[in-house]
Amino acid sequence: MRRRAPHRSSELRRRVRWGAVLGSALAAFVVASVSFAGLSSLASGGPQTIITKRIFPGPRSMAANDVRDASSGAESNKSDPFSFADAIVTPTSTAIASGTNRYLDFTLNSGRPGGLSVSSATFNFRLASGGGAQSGNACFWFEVRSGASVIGTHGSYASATGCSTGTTQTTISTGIPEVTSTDQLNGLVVRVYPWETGTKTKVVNVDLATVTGSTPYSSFTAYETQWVDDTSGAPATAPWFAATVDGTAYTDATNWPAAVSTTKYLKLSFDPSVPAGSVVTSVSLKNVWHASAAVTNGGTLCYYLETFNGATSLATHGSAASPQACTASGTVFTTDTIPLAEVNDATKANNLVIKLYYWISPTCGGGGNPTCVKSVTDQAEATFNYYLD
Amino acid sequence: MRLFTSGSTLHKLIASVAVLGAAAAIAGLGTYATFTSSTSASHTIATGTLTLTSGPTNRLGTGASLVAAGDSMQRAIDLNYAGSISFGSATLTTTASPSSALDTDATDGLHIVIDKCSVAWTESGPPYTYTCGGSTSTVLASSPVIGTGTALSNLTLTAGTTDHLRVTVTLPGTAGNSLQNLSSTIAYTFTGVQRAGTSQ
Repeated sequence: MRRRAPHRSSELRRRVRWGAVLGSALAAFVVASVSFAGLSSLASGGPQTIITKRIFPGPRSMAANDVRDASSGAESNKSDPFSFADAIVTPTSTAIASGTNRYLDFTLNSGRPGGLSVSSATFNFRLASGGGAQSGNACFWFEVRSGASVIGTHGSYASATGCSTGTTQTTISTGIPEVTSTDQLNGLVVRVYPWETGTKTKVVNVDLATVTGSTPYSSFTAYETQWVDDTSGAPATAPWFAATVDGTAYTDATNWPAAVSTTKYLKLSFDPSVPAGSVVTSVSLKNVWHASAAVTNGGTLCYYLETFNGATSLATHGSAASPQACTASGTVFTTDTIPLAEVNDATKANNLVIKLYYWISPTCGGGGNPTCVKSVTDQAEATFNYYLD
Repeated sequence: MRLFTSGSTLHKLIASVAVLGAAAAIAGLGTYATFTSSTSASHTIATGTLTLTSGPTNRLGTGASLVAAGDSMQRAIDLNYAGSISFGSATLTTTASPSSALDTDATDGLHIVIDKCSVAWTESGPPYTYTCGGSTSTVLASSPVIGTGTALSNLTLTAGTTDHLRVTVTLPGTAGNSLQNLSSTIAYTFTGVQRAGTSQ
């Protein structure tokens, strides 16, 4: 028998085995493909582009920061002392020297739509020494706080953010680029560390504490709604009366008259920074008030109001014959929410001025008549509902 | 040392290949479940067709602007099942390009609902709204707008028929200010898959 060479036999077996393996794999692939395959077909729709509004609809509330009291017949400026550079200054409760770590907290209002970017945010602080013998200058540094976090520090006791010269009020504006959105801006807290440089330490008079800046759609000024004076080491909170219902109220200067007089009023102004082109869907005034004392002998303290676009009258709500509201109580607050349908665009909203004409009905003063009283206002807030397409 | 003859080795290997081939052939035959005889008779096996198309109603290309939280957009689309084979199921795949938080925020971003009407929807607008003169059923319950291979329910799927769908895209009322001033472009792909295999 003829033998084949062993190496040729081994090579043949290897080739045949590989053939078997490949054949099996191919068979398996065919089987699997036939088993799993199926027909399918596609239909498409779109593309569909969806774009949201630049500012969503929503209410933005703001206290009157500019208040004028004309109960006497002549206007007196009773505005928030920290909202404007004016003659209304507030001294710290205590003379304060450098390095004490005692502070003033200013909490800003929340009147802007959330979710907007902020640029050029600036803290504006106006201060001066309280003056007196051996007084010096007023200086400060400050922190910017959002939520519970410090998001920026500007200056220090060793390097003041700014100082006034003597008792001359000086405004120091400092960029706070760490404030980048209205979510931070609404309710922002600025903690100011003031000090007086005199050889005999004095109080510091504060005139202004605001934050200004811009969103993509408008510029704004954010005003304080409360401040905390910790210069004594015992923090004392002082809300702006018009901002919230909190028992901190404003009593007008003079008893209201026995009959309506359009020269005697409380005047409220607002600065809501509604962007131009916004659709203003509604505006309302919330007035929380009562009489300064119970009105006797069947009388009531009443009011009606008039709205203005700057100096131009828009509408009245109520009248001498038909008051907006009345109360005889000297203790229980009345809450009135009054729709102001005439305020229907951004210009009217931004220029909104409201005069509240108070009087005692049917009369007051004299024997047997109701007592003449003042008004006590706990909150004066306007709410602006708007959106921007 | 044991020696194999070339003939015996070759036989064994050929036998192995034959066994594997037979196995593959049996498997294949089993899949087709078709028997052939040894007679001279013959038959033709022709595959069917299956086509999914949209229209004539297809408003999905109509976008929406100035959308606020709580707003909804209704768009109708007809799905037509054509061909000689019915569909067994259908899915929806949606993609976004460009994308934004409107489509990536699965909680407060855009959501989609699909309803079917037994007859063509009656359209009004724009802005488009639809009413059904027949009976309605839910094809897709509220879901985030972006999904892959999302199963659709209650479709007819029968070749030669049409399903009249209304796609409602909603920006939830819970959408916050972070969703202001955004834009997303959504593409919709409906996929129909043939029915399960049957004896023929």
